[in-house]
Amino acid sequence: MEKRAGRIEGPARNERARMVQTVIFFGVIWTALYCLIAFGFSLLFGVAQVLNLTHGMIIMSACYVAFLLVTGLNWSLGFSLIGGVIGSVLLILIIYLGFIKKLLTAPHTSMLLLTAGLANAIQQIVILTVGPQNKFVPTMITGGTTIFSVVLSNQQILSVIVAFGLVVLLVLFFQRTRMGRAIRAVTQDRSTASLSGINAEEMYLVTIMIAGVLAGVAGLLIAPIQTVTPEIGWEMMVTAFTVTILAGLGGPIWGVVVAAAIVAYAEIITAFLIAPTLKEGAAFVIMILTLMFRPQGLFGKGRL
Amino acid sequence: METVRRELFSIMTIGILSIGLAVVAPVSGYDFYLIGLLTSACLWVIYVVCWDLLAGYTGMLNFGQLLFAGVAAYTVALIEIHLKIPRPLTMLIGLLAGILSSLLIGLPSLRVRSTYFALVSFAVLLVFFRITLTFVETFGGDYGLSIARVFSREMLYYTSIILMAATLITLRLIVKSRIGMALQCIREDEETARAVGVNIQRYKLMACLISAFFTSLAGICGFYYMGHVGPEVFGMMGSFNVVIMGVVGGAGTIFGAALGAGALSVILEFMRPIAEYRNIGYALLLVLVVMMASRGIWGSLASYFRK
Repeated sequence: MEKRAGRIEGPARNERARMVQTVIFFGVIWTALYCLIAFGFSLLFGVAQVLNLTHGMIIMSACYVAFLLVTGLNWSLGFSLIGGVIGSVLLILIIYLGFIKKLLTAPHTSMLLLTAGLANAIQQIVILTVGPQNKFVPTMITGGTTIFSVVLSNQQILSVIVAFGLVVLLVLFFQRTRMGRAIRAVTQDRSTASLSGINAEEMYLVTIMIAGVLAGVAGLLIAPIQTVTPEIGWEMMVTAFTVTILAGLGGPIWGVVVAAAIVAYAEIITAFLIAPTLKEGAAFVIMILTLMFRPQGLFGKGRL
Repeated sequence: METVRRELFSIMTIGILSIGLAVVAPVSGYDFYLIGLLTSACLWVIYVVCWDLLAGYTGMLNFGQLLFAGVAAYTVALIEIHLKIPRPLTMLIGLLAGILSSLLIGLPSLRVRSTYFALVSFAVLLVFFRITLTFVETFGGDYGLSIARVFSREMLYYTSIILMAATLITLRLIVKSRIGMALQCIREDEETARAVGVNIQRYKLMACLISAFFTSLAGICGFYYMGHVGPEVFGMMGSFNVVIMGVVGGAGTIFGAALGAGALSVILEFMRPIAEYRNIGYALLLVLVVMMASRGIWGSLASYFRK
């Protein structure tokens, strides 16, 4: 007896509905995380025109610092998490003060070479000290919640809340506080900002520390829901860059959220339909299409 | 007249060095290890000077130079394994595939500043690495693809020397010609280049295609030499080594890049037992050179002697 194509039987239909829901919820999770990553990356890019290729590596090292503190030194999870964030802020401060700051006026190519070299060095040091194997970081909270028919771990829900919470805090910081406005002024025009009494150097330093915190938190949120390898530094870099150019520079903040959602859903659908290892391929296709057909990004102003 | 004499001189230098290199093998009694070392050094030189045409001359910083070589090598390997067609045709198809792969980074970068080229080249490398690991039946996964030896080692050794000499001479002539001027103009300032009538998109694409052409040839040569191609060709480290060699030797000078490639590839080989430390060392060497002597060994030497 031939089967009619297109008609789905009862259990199979449930299965498909569950899959669609899974994709939708996982999309929300990764949208939140990609927002965090892209914000951290684009902060320094916007304020100081520095393409910091070590950003992904800082996220990766935050994962590893937390892992080492929990499993190696038997610290409690809470302290390990704080340790992870402090570690990533220290790392980014070292990178900024020791290296990037000295080349701020150098050509873009030098800065790219410098940060690429540092990123590689960080990755190799991690491989040498911790090893290239996959690591598993314990979750911060246990248990799961069923939403519709999808079981989400509480950890994943916490990630979404923390990530979006940080983004909201960041927006408030930039819109409402004096320092946030000063940083935005430096972003728009450094010399005019200096004329009105803003210390640009100081603002760079604040920005870099915020970027460090964002990278650290992103790493800590990603670590429990994904296996951690030294490779993920580059993956995060590709994602951060894709979201940034898709959103466009100088665009509204919700533009970044929309761009993060597009990238996250494209990656998850690719992972579901083709292969999980190819999810960066989806990001890459988006990157290429954006650069070819809309180089200023979806919401960006001006030309790249 | 002066420039013509200078170019003749540099071509002769390349020729003499190549002949010297070719003589080394029979003198050493076709030492297996030495031939392998020199062949790989020649191929590195090709990769690095091709990278230099993009990065040093045009300002298109390519972190995925070996992409072209890898695509060409995988194509040739797949044809060798699955199809029975004449070998020259196989190589031609591999070459075309390698050149086409350069469009993947070249085309998206045409409308934006060259800075973005670097990030696209990162991404494309990662994607190809993943593709080779995902479709295991086709690309052999971690193990890659291997074929039986078809050309003798000696023959490939001479081929790589000839290829290197041809690449060096061609690129040297290109960068000293009007094309080279246009490329350097783009590197210095794209707006000015456009203003003086340089067709930026055309020249950028041209640089990409030329670079991919020689890199693919070297990739095919290397594939036949090893009889093997694996996913590590799309790894970050391989292409990153190309960048390091180019910068340390001196980006923006064909001979500097070649010097860096020759020296560092031999060291690379000797330090294979301590690969982890070597990788950290190379990465830090790049950082050091960028911060201290951004013109590399060749640039520093040149300015020293000019004083």
